Amino acid sequence: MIEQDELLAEFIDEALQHFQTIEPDLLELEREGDQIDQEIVNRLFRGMHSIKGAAGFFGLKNINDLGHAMENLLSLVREKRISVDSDLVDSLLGGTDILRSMVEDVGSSDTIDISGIMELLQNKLNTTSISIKKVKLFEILGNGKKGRDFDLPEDTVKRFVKGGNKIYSVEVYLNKDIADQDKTPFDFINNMTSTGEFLNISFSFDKINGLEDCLDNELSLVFLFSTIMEKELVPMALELPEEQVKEINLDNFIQRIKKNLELKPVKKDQKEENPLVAEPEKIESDTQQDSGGKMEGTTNAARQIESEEKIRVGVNIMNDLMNLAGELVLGRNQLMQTALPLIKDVQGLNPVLQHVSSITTEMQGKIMQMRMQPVSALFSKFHRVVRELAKKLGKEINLVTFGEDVELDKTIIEALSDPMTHLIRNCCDHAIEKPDEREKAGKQRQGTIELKAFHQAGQVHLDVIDDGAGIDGLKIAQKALEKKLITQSQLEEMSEQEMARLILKPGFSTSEKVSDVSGRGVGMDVVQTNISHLSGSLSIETKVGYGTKLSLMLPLTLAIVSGLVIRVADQYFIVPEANILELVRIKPEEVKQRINTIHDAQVLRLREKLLPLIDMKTVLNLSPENSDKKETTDGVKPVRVLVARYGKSTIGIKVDSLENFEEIVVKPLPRYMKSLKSYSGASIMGNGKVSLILDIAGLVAKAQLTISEEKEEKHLLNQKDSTENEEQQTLLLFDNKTEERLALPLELITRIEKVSAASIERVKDKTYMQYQGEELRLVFLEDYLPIQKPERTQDETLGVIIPKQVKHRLGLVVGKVYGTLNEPVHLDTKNISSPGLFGSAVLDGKITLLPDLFKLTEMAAPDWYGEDEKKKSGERKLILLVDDTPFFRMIESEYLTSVGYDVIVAENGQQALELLDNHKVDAVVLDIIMPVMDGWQTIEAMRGDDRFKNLPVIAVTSLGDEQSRERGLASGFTEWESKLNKELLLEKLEKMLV
Amino acid sequence: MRIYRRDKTLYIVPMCDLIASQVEELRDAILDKFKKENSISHVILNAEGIDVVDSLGVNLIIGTYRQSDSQSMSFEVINASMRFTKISAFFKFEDFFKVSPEKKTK
Repeated sequence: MIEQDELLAEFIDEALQHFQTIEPDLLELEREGDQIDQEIVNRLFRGMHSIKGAAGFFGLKNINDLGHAMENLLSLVREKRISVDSDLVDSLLGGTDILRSMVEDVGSSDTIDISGIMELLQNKLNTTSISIKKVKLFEILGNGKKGRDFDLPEDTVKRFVKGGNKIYSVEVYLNKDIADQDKTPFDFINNMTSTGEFLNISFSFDKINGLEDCLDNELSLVFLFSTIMEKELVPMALELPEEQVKEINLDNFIQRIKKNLELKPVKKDQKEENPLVAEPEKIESDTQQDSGGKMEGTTNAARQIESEEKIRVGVNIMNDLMNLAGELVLGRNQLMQTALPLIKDVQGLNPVLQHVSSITTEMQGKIMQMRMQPVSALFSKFHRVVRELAKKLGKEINLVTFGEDVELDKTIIEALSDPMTHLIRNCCDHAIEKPDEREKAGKQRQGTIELKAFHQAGQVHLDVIDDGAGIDGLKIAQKALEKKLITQSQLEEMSEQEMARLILKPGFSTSEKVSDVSGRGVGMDVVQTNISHLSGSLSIETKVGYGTKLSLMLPLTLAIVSGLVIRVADQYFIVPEANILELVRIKPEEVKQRINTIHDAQVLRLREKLLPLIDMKTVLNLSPENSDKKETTDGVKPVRVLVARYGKSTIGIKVDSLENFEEIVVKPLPRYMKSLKSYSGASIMGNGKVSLILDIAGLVAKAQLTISEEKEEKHLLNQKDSTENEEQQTLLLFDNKTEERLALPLELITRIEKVSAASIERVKDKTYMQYQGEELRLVFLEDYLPIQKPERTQDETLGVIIPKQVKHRLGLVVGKVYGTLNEPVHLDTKNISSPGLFGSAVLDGKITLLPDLFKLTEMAAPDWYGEDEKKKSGERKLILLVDDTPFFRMIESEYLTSVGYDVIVAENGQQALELLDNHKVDAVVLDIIMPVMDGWQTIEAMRGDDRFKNLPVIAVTSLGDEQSRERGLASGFTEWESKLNKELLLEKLEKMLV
Repeated sequence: MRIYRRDKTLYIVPMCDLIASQVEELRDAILDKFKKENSISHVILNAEGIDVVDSLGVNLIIGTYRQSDSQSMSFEVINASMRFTKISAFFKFEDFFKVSPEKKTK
């Protein structure tokens, strides 16, 4: 028999899950009032009904009684017999709080005094003079005779009948139908409530007549259940034998209602074909309810079919599994390193290793997936927090949430609860103004707080955006000066945004008085510290009078991450991949030009930006004598810089060498190292050595780095000579094990892997390698491009470039990778050209071939790209391509013509507008950052001209951030896409042209 | 286990858990007593010492109640422990017969 304690634990779990939706639904009820979506009221009612029903099942009197009273009130709301106001929702929320506290401590629930809340709810019920009239209904037995009888509330039965529902008695045996089928009673109830509504449960002792037969027959539960399903379907849906489902006879009841109606005068507007509409004044709502009821049944049935089978697993087991998966990954890494040299000598070792590796990766992925939870678990509680605070502070605040389906590791979700609550409380207390103040400032009386979650660059972003007063940087800075958190000279150097960031300093508070809402002087710094502990970052954007945006960037998980192993002064460190933007090698002769010193701090000039540069040897006091000795003849070494993301800023970290990417298992630092803020943890690498994981935020703090990009950029960029005004491209230089040099735009590359030629497998005429648990198709450049054929041996090590932005992933096999190069590209398409090749350019003093990655993949796997060919046969469309960079113009033009579009090109917005005057263009592909007239000005001019108001325009830009995209779409762009993403560009263009 | 009669009342005192390994023997003993004794009007199950009741134990209680009811005898449970009371609430015994908790001793 199922243990009662287990059942009770199930009940608590289930009830707490119901509370997760009950509270936000009640708040929605308050917002929408009588206009509330009927499905939300139904969900509220069902949730409360389940809690009440199950509590009755366990003899939990208080929970049952309170649940029953709340269910009655919700029933009145559902039947629109009570008007929804703040007072009613207050009572329901109050009841929910008490109910939850009783569920959380079920053992003591019957000792809690609930008389106060019961009286409150009863008063609400009394105001509607509710009288529950019961009706006696009978089972229909197989021979047509009457079976057991049940007393049911007449209103409820009427509601079911109107909705086209039938009522069944369902007999369920605890062992035969539940325990023996590996189910719990809750599985059964859940199944039942997903296909209908259950009304009542009772035990049936009918099968036991006395002592003689008492041990031969099993006890059963009798559920009364209402659904739109026909009788034949119910046993199938509930997985029960047919004889255990009996229909309840409703004929007499329906007849009686019809008779009653005949006695009443029928109003003209009453629908005669619906004789069951008893209350003429409620025709509209009843009709809605009818269809709602039917829909509910149908969608629920559909939901049932789609739903996955689930089981509950304890968090401890999950944590154990995660730790074991971590150990397995470590073991796998070590095994790979140890066994790699033996592959040649031991036959069959390689496939075994690859198999173990892929299974490990897959298993680790699945376990991590198990720990993921949607952020709705975090967001849902803030509706109540905002409501209560708004009331307390006399403000009107609306909380809007987006991206609730975005998932994060359970540990991160839990750890975010406090910092996020603090941010929301601060928003309510400090940011959103009182309604009168807002009105005076020309704003709506009601302030808005937006909570947004979205994925970007392998991280989860959580934005808290308010339309309040904004942060007055100067006021903040003055306060910080008074509190001696900064000096006068520091203040003078600060930008407005930097001043605003001072609120993150420990001990800072501008609140005039210490309130119990916020303003205790601790808080924002604690929030920042907590976010840092989660390997995340916090950034602030604010505008006085308009509002503030607090952006949290977090890793998806903390347990196992991909990291780059770097070497500095003969010591190894790991940088999490999520922090890495790119890797740059600066040639010795460029070092002086590209690394400058400003105010005793080094900065790196990278394309059009200046990055603060951290020298790890200096900052971490690493022994200089151990450092890299490799120097060129003139004494200047090449410099390798890891460009890392720090909040919304970018920094450079000087390193001696970049080793390899590894899946690393993050281990916490030992207690005696906890104070070292430059590290977030440690890990054991594949070679068995322990490495410290760098914490970029801690490293920046340790370097006492002030991120003031705006000023420094202006300072240095003003010194740029005119030749630098040409747009530079970042290219990855490599060869194919011959003298020929090749290059690909870095933006097109996900990563570069090193593989042993022996580990490459051939299947039919194609070649594959194992990559992240899957087979990755490999492409040898010499098979498709007019280049020299290299000599290939089994013991060589090859580079494999994994492209990004392609529909079907494959790897390009290359020889040596030289690093990146950053300079303007003057592409020559005439002298060296062929399919799969854009042309050549002189880069770094050498002729370099530039493969067309997309064409190459199409050539290598034509079966994947058959669809694109079809477009050529259709009507030809004219596309205006606007880009100031010849390199991008050429590439994008090639993309467009390759699928049959006609293309005309312009170098800036002004030229584009002239071309638009003289050509009938079907769509425009527009760059944003351009000289003479940029993309913003161009779209404004186009949308202001009636001729081009509706012309499809897609922005193709390197501004890939969400903010720019939003701004772009608001400015009138039809679509927004990043540069060089051929497949998405063509897909969106095709969509726009339909 | 003790089953004894005092006036018109039959007392059943199992003094053990009502679990599968015990119930058959208990059922036979109770049934035997029901058959032998005449003029009983009241049956009392003294639940003292009953901590665990499994599904067959519940069947035995219900069987005893049904047997009593069919012979026009009233039935009640006395000295129910906290766990027994919970089981009683779970199966809604009190819809059919009285269940009294155990008396607290000082």
